[in-house]
Amino acid sequence: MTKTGKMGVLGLVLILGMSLQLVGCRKAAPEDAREFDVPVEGGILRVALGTDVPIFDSAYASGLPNLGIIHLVTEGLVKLDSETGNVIPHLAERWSVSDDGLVWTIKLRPNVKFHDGTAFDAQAVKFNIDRLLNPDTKALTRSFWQFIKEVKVVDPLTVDIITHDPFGPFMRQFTYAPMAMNSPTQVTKLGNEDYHTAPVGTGPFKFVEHVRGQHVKVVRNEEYWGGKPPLEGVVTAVMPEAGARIMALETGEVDVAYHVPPRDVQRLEQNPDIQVVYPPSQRIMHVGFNHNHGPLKDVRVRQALNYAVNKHEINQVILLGRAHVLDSPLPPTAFGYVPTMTYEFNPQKAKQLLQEAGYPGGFTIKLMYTPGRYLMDTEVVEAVQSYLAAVGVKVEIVSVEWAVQAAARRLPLAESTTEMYFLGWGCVTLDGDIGFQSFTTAAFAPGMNTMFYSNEEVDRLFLKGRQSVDPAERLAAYEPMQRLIMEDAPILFLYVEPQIHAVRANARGVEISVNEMIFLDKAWLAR
Amino acid sequence: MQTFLYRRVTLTVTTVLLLLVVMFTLLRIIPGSPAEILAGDFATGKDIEELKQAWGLDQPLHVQLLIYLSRVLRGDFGRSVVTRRPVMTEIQGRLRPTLELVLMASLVATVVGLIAGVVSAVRRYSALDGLVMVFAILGVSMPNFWLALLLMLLFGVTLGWFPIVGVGTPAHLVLPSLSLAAAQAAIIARQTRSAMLEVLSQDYVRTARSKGLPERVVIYRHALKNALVPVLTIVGLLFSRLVGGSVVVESVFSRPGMGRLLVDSISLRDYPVVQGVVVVIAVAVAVVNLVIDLGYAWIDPRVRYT
Repeated sequence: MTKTGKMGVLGLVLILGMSLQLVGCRKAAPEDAREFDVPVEGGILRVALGTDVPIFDSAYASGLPNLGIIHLVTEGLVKLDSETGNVIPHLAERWSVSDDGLVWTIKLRPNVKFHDGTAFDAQAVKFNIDRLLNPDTKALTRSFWQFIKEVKVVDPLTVDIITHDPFGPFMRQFTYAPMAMNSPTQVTKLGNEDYHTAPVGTGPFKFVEHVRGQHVKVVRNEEYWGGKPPLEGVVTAVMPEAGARIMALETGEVDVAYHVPPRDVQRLEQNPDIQVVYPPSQRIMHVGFNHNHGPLKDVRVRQALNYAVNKHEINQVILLGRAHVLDSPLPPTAFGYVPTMTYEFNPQKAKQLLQEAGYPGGFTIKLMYTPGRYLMDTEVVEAVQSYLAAVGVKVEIVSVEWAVQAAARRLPLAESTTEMYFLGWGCVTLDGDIGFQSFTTAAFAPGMNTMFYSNEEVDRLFLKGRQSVDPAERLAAYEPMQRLIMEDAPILFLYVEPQIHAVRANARGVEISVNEMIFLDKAWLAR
Repeated sequence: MQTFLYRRVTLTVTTVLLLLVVMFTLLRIIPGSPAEILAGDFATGKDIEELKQAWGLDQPLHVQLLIYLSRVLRGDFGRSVVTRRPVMTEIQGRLRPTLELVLMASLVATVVGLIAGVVSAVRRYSALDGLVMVFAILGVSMPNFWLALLLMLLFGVTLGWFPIVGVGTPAHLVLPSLSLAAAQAAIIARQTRSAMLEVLSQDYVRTARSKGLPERVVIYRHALKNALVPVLTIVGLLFSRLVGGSVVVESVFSRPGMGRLLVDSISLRDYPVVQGVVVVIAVAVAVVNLVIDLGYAWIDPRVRYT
């Protein structure tokens, strides 16, 4: 993280300064270790999360940051760089793709062992991929891996993964947390049903226990391939109330608190013992339009609604200016992102477009949302309501539970009665393929396209981007595609939701990635 | 007595079974199912269908109900669709934090409520009486989650006397049980006060005083025991109210109890767990009410069960 970098520079400056002043003058204080950023061994790091890890097996778990906790134990072949969002080697050292784009050859990191002593090799990779693909496993994300046709072991450290068609987002797909490497010995021994009670991976920490609703405990893996982690262990605590997480952080009961509400940020920023961190993010916040509903069928109405809302003001007033106002259907960290356009706040134009579309007096429409699911959601939804009221569109806010919203949106076209809904899409693999998929006709609900947006050219470009393994070719398809999507205004483009977390100042090297995963193999606690 | 017990147990079992049927049906009538939630953002229609099949949710409602009931009667409550663990294992892990909390809160509410009620009745219209009644009004009107946050701020953050989240030591129990007990203590105090005032004006209290009994004996042996009958009814209701309140308090104090399990399971539509928790709570409330009914006979010898 940049913080570590800055501390390093600070350390150097201090050394220089002190040597000029003659070191003898200054007493060696215990804080010196902190200033020079030399990791200290030992200590248990405590992390407060809003939700519990549902089940400690990434085949059956869903939701971030929970999957990140599982990844402390069971890692993936590749990971996303926390800062840039690029794919970087992890258990896989390097990879290449055949000329026809169908065979991916993956070279594995040598001398890696699972916590139970089983060798991590090509056989283990095949085992894990086959496990997710096997219908009997009933993995939650099975359809996510359907592009894989077959996995072949070439030699102990090489696997060939063969796809049905050339598949552009291949390596990024492998950064998605459910594709974790579990010890084949342990999975076979316990079976899919009970493996989660004693999961075994290659990660920097070994699983100790998971007490449902209470905590997850892991201890250091002394033989971690990436070097022995300084921390002795990590404990997560489940604290559903944001207020409780913050208080626990302030009293030092925990070292890291996930998801800090903006109202607490100013106070925490003033506390010298606490550092508020804002990792880049990827969640696309938007108001979805049902394109089959009355006025929303007309592109001019959808554009008008986009013009009517002042996204920058929402960002500044409600989200501390930490959000990124959307200028593409993708977050800036995603592959394929090109800043395209923003519907800049223009109520005049909105009114004019509504008039052209035959709604000079506006109309009444329902907006469904789930309070508490996203950062400051009630405030944002109410802001949208008042902006739209200013151009004559009366929004009736319907607040429903998440289960109700999910079920309502997933109804097929013929049954759907949704009008508008407030939603956040995770672009978890940071690939345009995921970000654009919701805009394709093939993904109509019950799939991800719960707007019923359909544009043949978008569908064509999407497949072109998916079925090419040449990044340049993919980008060439994605650029015009995002222009088309922006112009069609299939959704009300709002912002990329900021990540706001807080860490106690003595907890160093805590890395929270762009998709909310936490990496702690380099973390340490200053005394 | 035996007939009474037999009748009550039969009634309880029937009630619980009926409750289970209603619960089972209601859960499936309300919109949403675990499939859409667990399948996640990238799910296709096929994923959702496959999950529903795996959990038997594609079957007609009455078939699902019959399968479920026949399993429950054999003691099998099924497995959670989220954690894949047996429902009773899930619940066992959550029983203790809730039991501790509810028992401690009952104790605090009853003891504090009784003492406060008796004191303010005996010292009627004194400054002390006024103070107790002001606190009673405050206790009843303050929502428990708000009181919980205030207690956390004062005793946890500012003074640092008690831990604010989690479970484990008796210290972890102090703030949650206070927040949960406050409203109930207030209700008991008010009820005790009015019951005592009524009893204290009775002839037998005057008789007791005039035959020279010490005031302490008059109050506690003669007056309080008679005033207890209506209070006991309140205490009986208290238990189910506390279980209800624990849902909120457990969330605020991050206690991994049954209340939170219930809330989490409802929002994830984890049907088997919701059903299991409801059964356990229903049985507990029924048992407590049975004990209370037997308690009447102890307090008031005129009550006979046949």
